Formats: sequence, structure tokens, C-alpha cells
Amino acid sequence: MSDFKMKILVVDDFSTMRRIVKNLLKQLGYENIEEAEDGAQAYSKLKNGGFGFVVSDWNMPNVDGLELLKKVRSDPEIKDLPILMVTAEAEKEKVITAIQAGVNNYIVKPFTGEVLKEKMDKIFERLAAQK
Amino acid sequence: MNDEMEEIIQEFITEAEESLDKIEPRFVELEQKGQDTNLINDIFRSMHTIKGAAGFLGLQLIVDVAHSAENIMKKLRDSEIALSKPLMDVILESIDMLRLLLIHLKEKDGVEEDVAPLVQELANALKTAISDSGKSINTNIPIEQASNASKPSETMSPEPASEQLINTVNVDASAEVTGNSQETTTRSSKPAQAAEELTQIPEIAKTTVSNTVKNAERTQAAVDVEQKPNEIIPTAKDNTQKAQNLRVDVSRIDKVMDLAGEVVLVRNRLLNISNYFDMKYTDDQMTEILMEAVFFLDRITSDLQIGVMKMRMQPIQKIFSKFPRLVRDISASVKKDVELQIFGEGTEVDKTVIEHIGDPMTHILRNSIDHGIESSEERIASGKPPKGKIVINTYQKGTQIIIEIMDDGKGIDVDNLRKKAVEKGLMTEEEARKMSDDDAINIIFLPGFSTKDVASELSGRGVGMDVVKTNISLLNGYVEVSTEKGKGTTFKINIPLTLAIIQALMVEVDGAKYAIPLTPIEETLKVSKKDITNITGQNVIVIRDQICPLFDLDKALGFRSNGNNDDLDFKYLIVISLGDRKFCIAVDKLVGQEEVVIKTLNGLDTTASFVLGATITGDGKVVFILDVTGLSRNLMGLAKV
Repeated sequence: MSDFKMKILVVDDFSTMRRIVKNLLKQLGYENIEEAEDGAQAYSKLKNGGFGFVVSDWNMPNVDGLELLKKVRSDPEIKDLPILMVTAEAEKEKVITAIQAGVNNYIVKPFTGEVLKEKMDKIFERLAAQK
Repeated sequence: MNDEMEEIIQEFITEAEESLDKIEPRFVELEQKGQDTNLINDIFRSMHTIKGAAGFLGLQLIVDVAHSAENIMKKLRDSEIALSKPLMDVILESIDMLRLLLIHLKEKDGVEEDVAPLVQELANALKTAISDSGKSINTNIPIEQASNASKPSETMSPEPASEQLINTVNVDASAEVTGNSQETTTRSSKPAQAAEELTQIPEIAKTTVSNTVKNAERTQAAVDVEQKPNEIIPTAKDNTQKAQNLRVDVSRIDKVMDLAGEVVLVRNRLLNISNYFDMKYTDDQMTEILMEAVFFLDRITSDLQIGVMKMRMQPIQKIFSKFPRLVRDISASVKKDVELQIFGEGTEVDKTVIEHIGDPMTHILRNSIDHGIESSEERIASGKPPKGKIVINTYQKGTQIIIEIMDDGKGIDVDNLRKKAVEKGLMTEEEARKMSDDDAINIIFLPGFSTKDVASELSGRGVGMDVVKTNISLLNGYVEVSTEKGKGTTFKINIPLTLAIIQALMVEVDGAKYAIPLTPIEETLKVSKKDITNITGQNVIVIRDQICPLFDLDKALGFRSNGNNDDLDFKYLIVISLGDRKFCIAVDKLVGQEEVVIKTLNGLDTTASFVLGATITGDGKVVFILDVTGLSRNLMGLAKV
């Protein structure tokens, strides 16, 4: 049921992290993965269209993950794009802020491929149920 | 551990070191500016990121240290605690520890550092800071506000220039490789690819190479048919206008560098062969075509060489970014007030220079602060501003890179140097007296020399300025000192721009050819044998009223001369000048100047044999390149003048 052709954007300012997340996604079977260094770059990539999913770090220079999330949600063209936010540790206040801003789910670093799959499956199940 | 994982870890090390390099100067800035949110947030984010990635890679020690430091930075960012010197010191310590852990990881030496004391120290520092400022500051800052405050200003965004690092060279993906005068522009045709993973690089390289080939062909066509130059520019022009960086493993660039070197050698051979055909079959039309093709290859090879050389160039800033912290720490430990100014940090130098210039420069800086700059009281007493100043200035001069390190301290007391040198038995009283002031300054470079009676914690350690000299000469460079009593001292480091391909003078002795790097050669002379005099067992020659020691090359290299050439009544002399040292090398024949590619010789003790490497000449022969610096060290140790 997962669409492995789906275009996924990995957003992180640390290239090692992008590579790690990309690797995990590849292990899960996803092939079409692109990267962005910060929220600003991510936003302009997303605007160009074609993306089905975003995995974004929270803490980034320029436009951080939360700002990216808000920008996407307030943009009619891409407002429904599922976003998975990566945080360092489960800080309750932070998570609440993100949920209020409309994040689909969050994942705590470091995570394994299985946890990532679980989170993604949950997001897609919920989206499918909404339709 | 699989290769992919191994590669990721290598990338992590590089990137983490880069992050640390970037934040370190921020601390010094922070100390000057006080509680600056942008600076604090920058440092916080780097710690946070390093911790995050280390967590994935199972590098628990790094996670522990980064986590503790991050905790402090977070509290600082949220203004829950105030910035203080002890806090700063302990965070700097944690940066040092992170560096150490990364080095162990890189070296795979299996050494496990005990980070527990440091983590404890960090926790204690945080606790103290909280109890110090806990009551006075409102800890209830809403998250929203904190995350707004975390938006750094434009100027804080990492500059591409500071992206360079030890193990990877950022290659400008749109770097132009000019094929010939027609400006053939090679670009990575899909810029999106440039952002792709390392693993895809061979593909890009292939694209680029095939483009180069195509463009070369097209340019050839352009020469014949006069095509318009804009037609040879790849179509993806619009997308390539943005500067793009490609992070490439340095071993790949070195491989290309090696191959470019091979191409140079083949080119030299072809030039030789085609010249032969040109002489023999002048009227043959094919000869003309051959010559044309070879000349074209000749030009392209030169451009290729420059292109590859540029790939290895990095701004020297990479090294300089460590110095503000260094100067801060050293001056604090000797209780002096010193300001550091850096100019020309954008100057680009070869990667090898970046790797090896740090230590000698650090040593010079230590010396300047420890021995050169006076205490504030002394400075005021002699009418100087209380704050000492050190200026680092870097620029390119011809094919040399010059790095000047100037202090406005008390200067070097030359008479004192003479006295100490005699006391330490490094020379006799008479020798010391006879020395010119300029020569006497160079006493500081003698092994085993240190002017302070008690070696201080910094400049001591049994390492003297002689190491500075040795390290710089390993880069084929040299260092000069000038000083003025009461005004200050300047160290001037000269390093050649590239290390892999050099201009060399080809000489012959006892029927064997050698290449001598051109840089230290001052002049060549043809002298009659009767001009050479022998003073106490040492051959010397008078050149324009200056006595210069003279050595036969074959004897200097440890060969017994076969005597054949001793009958000649004249000799060719090569005058070598290396910093303070000047001497002549006698050879049988000067063959000419040639551009040579240095090939490292494996399994050869290059220090003992005075051979820098080997090269292959145009006629296909292997020729040794002499290590003039090593030779000079050995010879001057024996010289009596």
C-alpha cells in the first residue's frame, strides 16, 4: 500500500543527517528522495510540486522546521502535505506547539527504520481514513 | 560495519569538525559582545546537530558531551542563566573533548576517553550558574518566544567559504575549465545532481568528463568552421548560474591530480617525439597534422593542470578560524592583553598547505604572545597602548603565498640571542660576535634554543622554533624574521602555490640527471676551478665579495666521484638561498629548465637520501628530484663557514 515512487523531501542543515534519513527511507523501499538544507530551500522545492511527504528537522538556520510547517499549512497549494517532524528529545511543550501548527507526527532522534516506518504508516492510515 | 556506514561516519567526522571550526570563533565573539542571542543560538544549534547525528551513529561519548554542553547553551539561550567565564571555559573544554573524540574516531585507534569527569564538570557549572542567577531571571519564557529568538540574522548563515574542511574539498561545480582561448565552459549539466549524494559523484564526473570531451571536440570544430561560441555552452545554463558546491572525497581529487600528472608526463614525451618527426619528415603533411594535435594537447594539458590545482585550493581561513580562540587562551594564561587582527583569510592555498601550516603558525603565535608582547604595565611604561596587537596578513605574490605574522611587542634582543647561543654552546664567542644582526636573529631557529630561562608552559615543551622551520620547509617554503627593538617582530612565511607540479632545473653529475626545484635557486654560475679556494677543509667561492660554501653534488649525495670530471677546469655552480642559508652546489652540466610532476617514491627514506621524489622527463627517463632543504640542513651542519 505504500507508494515507493512517492517523492519525499528530507530537510536538515547537517548533511550527514540528511544522508542518514535518506538511507533509512531507502531501506524502507522509497527511491525518489530529494534534500533541502533549510526551511527556505525546502519551501521553494515544495512549491515546485510533486512531493508526497516531508521529513523535516526542527532546528535549522534561516527558516526552521516549525516555520516551514506553518508556511506550508498556510499555503493553499500545498497545505495538505504530510509532514513528519524530527526532534532531538520529546519536549512536551515543543511537541504541543508543533501539533497545534498542524504537524502530522513527530519522531525523536535517534530513530530506527522500523520506528520511521511505523510513524509513516500511521500518518498515511490517518490520511486515508480522512478521505 | 558496511561501507555505506563507514562512509557516513567519515562524513559525520568531517561535518562535525567543520561545525566546531565554525563555532569556535563565535565564543571569542561572544566574550566580547556579551549575551548575544544569535551567537548563543548558533553554538547551541551546532551542539544539538552534532548530538543528533552522533545518536544515530551510536557514538555515545559524543552524545554525552554534546548533550551536556547543549544543556548549558539552551539555558543561556533562554536567558535562564547568565554568561560567565567559568561557563565559557567549561564549554570550550567540551569542544576540545569533542574534537579529541572525533580524532579517535577518525584514526580508529580504539582509544576511549573518559568523558565522565567533563560531563560532571559541565553539570556542576550549570548548577552553579542556575543557583547564581536562578532567582533574578524569569524562567518562564514561552516556547514561542524562544523559537522566535532562535531565528538568526542573515549574517549568521554559514558562508560557503567556511565550508571547507580537512577531509573533503568543496569543488565549485561550475568551475570553469578553459579548454583554450575559445573559452570552452564545462559545467555540471544538471545542477540538481550536484546536491545529490556522494555515491553519485562518479556519474557526475562522467557527465562532466564527457562534456569536456564533447566541448573539446566542438572547440576543435569551432576553430575550423568558426562556430559561434555561445553554441558550445550547455543548455542548462540558467540552472547553473547559482554557485554550486560539490562535496568530493579528497582521495578522488588526488586521483584526478595523479592522472593529470600522468597526462603531463605523456604530453612531455609526445612533444619530444613529435619534435623528432618534425625534424625528420618536415615536408610530410601528416607531420603538420601531428604537430597541430600535439600542440593542442599541450595547451589543454596546461589548462587541465591549472583546473585540477584549483580544485585542491582552499581559503586559508580554514586554519585562521582557530586563531582567535588560541590567542584568547594563550594571552589569558600569561595574563597579557592581546588583540588579533587577520587579513587576507580568503587567500587560497593548496590543501596540503592547509594541513601543515597550522602547527608552525600556532607556534609563532605562542612565541609572539609569550616572548614578544609585553605586559600591559610594561607597555604603558614604554608609551604603547596597553593592549598588544598581533596582525596576520596573507597574500599571494607571484607563485608564492606569503603569510606575515606581526606583533607590536618588544622585539628580539639580538645581543641577548648571541649571549644565549654562546652560553648554550651552540657557537663560540667569536662566531657570535662575527655574525651580522640579520644572521643572529636566525639563532632562534637553531635546534635546542629557547631564550626564556625557565621554559614557560606555552612555548616550552621542548619544542623550539626549529620545528617551525622544519615544518615550513616540508612545504618547500621558508621563513624569514625581522625585528626592531621596542617596536615588534615580523615572521614572514613563504610557501609555493602548488606542491605537485614544480619548475625544476635539470642538472647532470657523473652522467646522471637530477632535478632541482627552481624556487630556492638564486642564480647559476660557470666558474673556473682556480676561483675555488679551500679554507680549513671547506671549499668556498667568493661571489660578489661574499664568501659562499661550495659542495660537489655527487659527494653531497654520498657518492664517491668517479673522478672523470675532476679534470675539467671549470664547474657549473648553482647558488641556493634558503632563508638565512646560502651555499653553492657544483655540477658537471646544466641541462635546462623543465616542468616536472613530483611522484612520491614508496619505500625510500627520503630524508636520508635527500630525494623529494622522482619524475619522468620528456625522453621517458626517471629522474630524482632533490630535496634541497634536507640537503642544506645536512651540508650546513658540516660546513665550517
